Order: sequence, then C-alpha cells, then structure tokens
Amino acid sequence: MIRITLNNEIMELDDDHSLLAVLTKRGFDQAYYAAAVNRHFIPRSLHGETLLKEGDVIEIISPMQGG
Amino acid sequence: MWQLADRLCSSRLLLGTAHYPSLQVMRDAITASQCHVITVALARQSPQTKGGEAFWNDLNDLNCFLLPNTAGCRNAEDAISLAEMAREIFQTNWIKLEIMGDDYTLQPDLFELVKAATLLVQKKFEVFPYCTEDLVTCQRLVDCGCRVIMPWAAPIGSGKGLLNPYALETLRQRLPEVTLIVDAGVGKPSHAVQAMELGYDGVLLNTAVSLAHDPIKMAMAFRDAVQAGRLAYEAGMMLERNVAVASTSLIDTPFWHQEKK
Repeated sequence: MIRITLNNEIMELDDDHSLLAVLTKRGFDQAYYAAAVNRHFIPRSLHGETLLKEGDVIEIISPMQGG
Repeated sequence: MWQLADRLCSSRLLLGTAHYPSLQVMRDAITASQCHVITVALARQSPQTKGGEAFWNDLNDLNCFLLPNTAGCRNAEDAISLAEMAREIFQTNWIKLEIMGDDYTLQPDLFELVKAATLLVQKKFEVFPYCTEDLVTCQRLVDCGCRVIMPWAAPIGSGKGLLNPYALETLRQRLPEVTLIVDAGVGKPSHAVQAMELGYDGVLLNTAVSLAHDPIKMAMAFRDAVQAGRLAYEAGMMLERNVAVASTSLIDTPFWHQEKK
C-alpha cells in the first residue's frame, strides 16, 4: 500500500498504482481533465504506464472561467 | 479579418470569461461583443460536482478561438506544465503566458516570463506573453519567438486605463512588425479607443465587461470602441497643434476685418 496526494487530498492505493487507475477510480474519465504528477504534466497517452510512488502529488485540472 | 498569430480573426477585441454574474450572461456578452478570441483558465475540480462541465459545454458552443492562460503560476517550470495541460485539454497550442511576480500589483515576473516563453516556443506553442510595457523585455520576448506581445495598460482588474501611454506608444514604434495587444487594466471603452488609436492590434479585457451593471451592453460598447479606435488609426489622425486654426476660412466672410484683437 502507498499513500499519495490527489488535489490536496491524501489517498491510499492498494494494488493498481497506475495513474490511469487512480483517475478512473475517482471519476476523472472525461476529455476535459489533464494530470500532472509532482508538478510535471503527464500526457493522457502515458496515464496507463505511469506508476505512482509513495508520496507522489497528483494535480488534476479542468477548465474554468478566466481572464 | 486580421491575422493573429497563425489564424484569421474577425474582431480585434479579445474577451475574458471570468466574473460574470452567470454563464448565460457570459455567453450573451461574448456573443454581443462579436469577439473571436476568449480566454480560459484551468483549476482543480472535483469530478463528483461535475466541475467545469457546464463551462466546457459553453465553450464548445461559442465558436471562438480559445486562449488558455497560466494564471496562478509563479515560475517558468509551473507555467510550462500548465501550458502543456492546457494544450491537451483545449487542443490548441495558443497559450496566454502569465507568471506573477508580485501579489499586490499582480505584476508579471519578467525574468521567469522570458525563460518560460523561450522553452514554450521550442515546444511549438504560440505564446501570448502578458508583460509590462518595458521595451527591452518585449524585445527579448520577440527574440525568443513570440509573435504576439501583450503589455498591460494597468494592473489587472484596476480599470485605470493606459497609465503609461508614452511607453506603450514607444513600444508600437519600436516593434512595428509585432502584433501588440493591450492586456489588463482597461476599464472603459475610451481606454480601448486610446490603445487602438496608438496603433495597437487588439485589446484584451475582462472585468470592465463582466462587472459592468449591464455586461451585454458594455460588451457592445467595447466592440464599437475597438472598431472606432482602429478606424481612426487607419484613417490617420491630424497632428495636434498649439494654436487655433479656424475651421471656416475667414477671408471674405461678412463683417471680417483684419484687425487684431
């Protein structure tokens, strides 16, 4: 088991440590989300092969109004 | 139509999407403004609350070019990551590069800005850097590959208008081939006219419209102001003079006597 932080919330992961599994589990399955791990962008095509480690910080963002 | 980076735009007004009373008012104001480019941002959202979904759907209906920003970033590294995330979500290589250097004035960090712009251009982004009116910084941004430069008129959201028209005019004269857009600090349509009369290629604003009592009517006012300013610039304005010159020729008019008063 490892512990990660996703959008400021601590999570515990049991078996599948891939970024894709975490996003799917948390309901991030739309086109309008993007992910960064430890402040580095991870393209959608690499979500499946990106394995998370203890202490990783994941940011998931989506569109909002801005100037 | 005019050329903005790699695309043709029908309007020289660029509009932000923040602070409107509702998404419906935002949509109506954007439509009324006839702008062709709107800015958007990125933030953490919860999938449970469907955060961002309604806005996302609106964006797809508005038929505007999207200009995502990197608001909130304080260094080049974070801005680059956010730009890459924006490119994936919005499917555009356009990025409004904002890197804040001061919390009180929201003045951009020009050192980090040039660093980030250099790397983003290498990554094939079309970078629209939000900067101050400093000529040398703007030249550095051009040198690293920016085709569009966006100096502020005044601090973001201040509505103070063109605080340094001399420097903005100098920028226009020294960078004649660069697309220059005044971004931030515009509070009234007359400010937009002033920027366009200086020869700026466009004006980007948000709060002046979204916080107006009637954002839709104000959007129309800015639409017309930007057009008026551009037309005036293209028409060529008369030179200012220190002496009066009668509009009507006084020679041979009745009661005219060449006596000095």
